[in-house]
Amino acid sequence: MHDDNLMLCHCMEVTKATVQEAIDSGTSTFSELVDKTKASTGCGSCAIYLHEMLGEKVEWTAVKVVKSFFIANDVKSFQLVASDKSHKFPKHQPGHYIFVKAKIKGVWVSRPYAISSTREETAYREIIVKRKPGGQFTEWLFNQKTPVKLLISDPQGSKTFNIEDESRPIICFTGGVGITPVISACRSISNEKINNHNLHIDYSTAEHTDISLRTTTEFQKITRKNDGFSFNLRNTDVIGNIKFRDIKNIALRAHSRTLYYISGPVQYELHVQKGLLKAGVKSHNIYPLSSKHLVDKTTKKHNPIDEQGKFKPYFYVGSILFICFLIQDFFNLKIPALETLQLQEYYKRWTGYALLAYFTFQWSYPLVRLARENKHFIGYQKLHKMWGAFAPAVFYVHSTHFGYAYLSVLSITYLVNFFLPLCNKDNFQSLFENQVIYKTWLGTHVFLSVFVTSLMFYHVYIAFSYS
Amino acid sequence: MTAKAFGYFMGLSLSLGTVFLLLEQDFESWHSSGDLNPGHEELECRECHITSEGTVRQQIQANVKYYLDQRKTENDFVFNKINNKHCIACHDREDDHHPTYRFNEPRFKKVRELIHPELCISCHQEHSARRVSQFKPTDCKLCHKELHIEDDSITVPHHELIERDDWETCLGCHDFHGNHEMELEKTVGRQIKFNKIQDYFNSAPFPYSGKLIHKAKESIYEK
Repeated sequence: MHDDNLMLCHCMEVTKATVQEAIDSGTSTFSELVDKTKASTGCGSCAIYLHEMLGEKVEWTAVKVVKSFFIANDVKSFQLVASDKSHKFPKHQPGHYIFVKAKIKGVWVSRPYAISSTREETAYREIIVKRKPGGQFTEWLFNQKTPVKLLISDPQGSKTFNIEDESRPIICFTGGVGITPVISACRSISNEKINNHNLHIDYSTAEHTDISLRTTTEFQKITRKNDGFSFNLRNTDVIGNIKFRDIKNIALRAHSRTLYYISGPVQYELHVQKGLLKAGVKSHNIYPLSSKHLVDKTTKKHNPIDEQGKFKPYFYVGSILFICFLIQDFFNLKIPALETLQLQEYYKRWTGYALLAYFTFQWSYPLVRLARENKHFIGYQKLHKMWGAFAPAVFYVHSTHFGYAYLSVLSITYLVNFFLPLCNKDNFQSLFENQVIYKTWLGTHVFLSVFVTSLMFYHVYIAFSYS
Repeated sequence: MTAKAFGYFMGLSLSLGTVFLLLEQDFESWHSSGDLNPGHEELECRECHITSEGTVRQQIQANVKYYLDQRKTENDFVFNKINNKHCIACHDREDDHHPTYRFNEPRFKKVRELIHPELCISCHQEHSARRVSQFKPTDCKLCHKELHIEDDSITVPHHELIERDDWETCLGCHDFHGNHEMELEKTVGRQIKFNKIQDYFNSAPFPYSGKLIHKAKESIYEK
């Protein structure tokens, strides 16, 4: 993985360099990365590399398959138990998936699979695998005799079911093998006896095979046990794909606080999302598990800040400090003791060093990115943003004034370079969907940072020269 | 070229351009930390900021040695540090009422610790656009609270003004350095008010007469 031209995703012919470029331009989540580069939208075997490049740590646990059975001609359920019998699997949320890794002909191969066991189950993990004709991993797995030794990762993914909030009914639209996380959600709600939970499952499947029969049987059993549960099987071979009017009919009968989860092939998920938006469902109530999240055009128009209409905490911190700094300078609200202190050579020198150290720390983030060491860079990015918000306060300790001659240029550039990144895509999401705006913003921030740094070092030279 | 690479390229180019420009002698006034004090407006930077001995490399080397205790004195970096000599080069005269060297006497030890009257810049900080940057009427008290004058000729005797703690009246009659032609006012109440003195400290003309006894040199190179 050292060569940038290495083909990362063979299905979609995406190189490592393309993925890296997307990360460099600000893509920070797995789903965004998949959406932008199309990597991992084929067989999904490169997903693990995308996660590693995003700096998401992957812990592996040795497991063996203790039980497996066919639930359709080409679909098999696997029960995985840790090789270390004392090991307890961490709890997961329905919608989480794990990577399963095996050494096939001397090469490690890994694939992602959604977890279908209940979220409270810590003794074993259950996954449902569909055989892919000619597929390297599934063909190998299906031909092994138990116990098969494998490695599995901890639960991954950020798109999970919110089954905690009983006041919010859930409607699941699911298609094909996308039923797996829905099974986990359904079993979890039923097993944990979350009272009064309303769950409706609309399951589309192309072939009326054993998988749907087994699932139907299990769902019907659960439905009988729980008053709020309902289930609809849609045989697409007979009645065709789900129509917008079918979706509308379901949405019209639903409570306004209903959460809509969609799990299935990408095209299916996008189709259902469009149908729901057309039926007037708000985009923040819709959760596609693997496709891009579509935003309601009207919502976007009226709320350009972001979907929730909220700024990030560091935006408030930075803005308040910035306004306070401007007010104190404009109205000459100075603290005499601080003004006297700021005339002292030793004070100027040491607060200057502190300011320089603060600015150097801010540089550690782009240096980490430049070194292409993406591990933990998301954490670095958060620190970079939060620390950046305190720029006016750090400056105020060193000087309460904008200064004179070249110092006024330095101060103004410093504060512009603080305020510009505060207005970033976290806070003005829709504005930054325009790539030209994003690139101009990024280029300007980099340019100003380099310029301010150079002037800062020049200032150190001048301060020592004219003492 | 990506947006980031373009940003780095532009940032470095402009930085180098700016630094080279600022180092040119024509732009040296851009290094100023504020407007010059009244009377100094026409001075060139190099009248006070005189190039220090040696090259920058030698100066750094000497200072590193100083911090490592291998040298007894520090070496000024690029320009000599400003001290009384720079001011006296133009403002020296024989009958100064408060020459800085007087405050080096042992009896002024405490006062030196408090307000450093032995240094010109303690009151006359350059680049502050003011004649006197730092002064409080009670500063007079630090040396003159024990003052006793026999046959005091003013309407309210000095010792009474001291008892009243009325230090704002001092400069109303007494010019600190005594370089302005003026007659001593003997009627207390008719002296120059302290707010007028303060205006003068900031930048207004002298409130008595504009006549100076000694004129300062216009350049340190003037003979």
